[in-house]
Amino acid sequence: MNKIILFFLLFISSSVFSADLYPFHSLQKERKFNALLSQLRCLVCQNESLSSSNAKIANDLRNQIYHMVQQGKSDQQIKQYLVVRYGNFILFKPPFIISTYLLWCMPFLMLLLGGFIMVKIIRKNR
Amino acid sequence: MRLKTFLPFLIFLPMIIFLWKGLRFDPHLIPSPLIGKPVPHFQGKTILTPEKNIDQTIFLGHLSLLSIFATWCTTCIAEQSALMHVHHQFPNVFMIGLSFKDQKNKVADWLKKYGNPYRVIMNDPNGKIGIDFGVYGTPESFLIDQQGVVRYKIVGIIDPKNLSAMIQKITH
Repeated sequence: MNKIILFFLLFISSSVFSADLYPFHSLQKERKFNALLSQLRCLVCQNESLSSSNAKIANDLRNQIYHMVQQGKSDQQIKQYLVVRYGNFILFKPPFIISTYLLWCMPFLMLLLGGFIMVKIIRKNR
Repeated sequence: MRLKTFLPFLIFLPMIIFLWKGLRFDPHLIPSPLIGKPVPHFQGKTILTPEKNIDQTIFLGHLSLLSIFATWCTTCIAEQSALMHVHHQFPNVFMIGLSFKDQKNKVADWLKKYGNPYRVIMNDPNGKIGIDFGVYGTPESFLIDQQGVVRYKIVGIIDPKNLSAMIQKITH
């Protein structure tokens, strides 16, 4: 029983910690802030998002985004602010533009190619 | 018949070239979206007394090298000697320092110890100007032309030879 209580307490303490650093009066703004952070890449620890990275730059950008969310800026405005300064690489989801067409379409093309080869082999074996 | 035997090889070879090139890229050298664009607008103050106001017009009328540094950045110590070298080799380049997220008193001492090649040093204690320049890890440098357009970004320690080539490209 004590182990279960301790396990539960660990979760409560971690959420209180983050609420102290970035306090919001509005639940909607808090959710927006957290959602945004998880969509943005830390440029130093590149597999981590801005929500989990401990890098200096992640901390600075979290502060900046916090202020922008408090000011009521939209997701689009905040992402645009970051892309202008850091480039598309800061977004985990790359935009669908000429330079990323191949990146986006390659899995589907590979699937089509694989399907095509499979059909050919099946027909050949009949 | 002959084409079929070579087909896997013909698919494999371009893939190998693609992957080999990909392995050579350093993912930490992120291309800057500021290249080819005018320097971002900002407002700041110089770090050494007497404090003066500075904005983006500081970059106009001369070839500038903006160097982002910090006393807490150990790599910056190594870069400082390269920058002193640049200072002597290229007296026409207007060297500007950006003290990034640092403390005034520490900066003055650090510059006395490691050298001060800068004509002007801007103070950016909260890193706001750094964010406007897309700084993610010191040391970083920008080569800016006479019209205030960002031409090159250098992440890491400057190699004076590479810098020389970049300056040549801008001035010709």
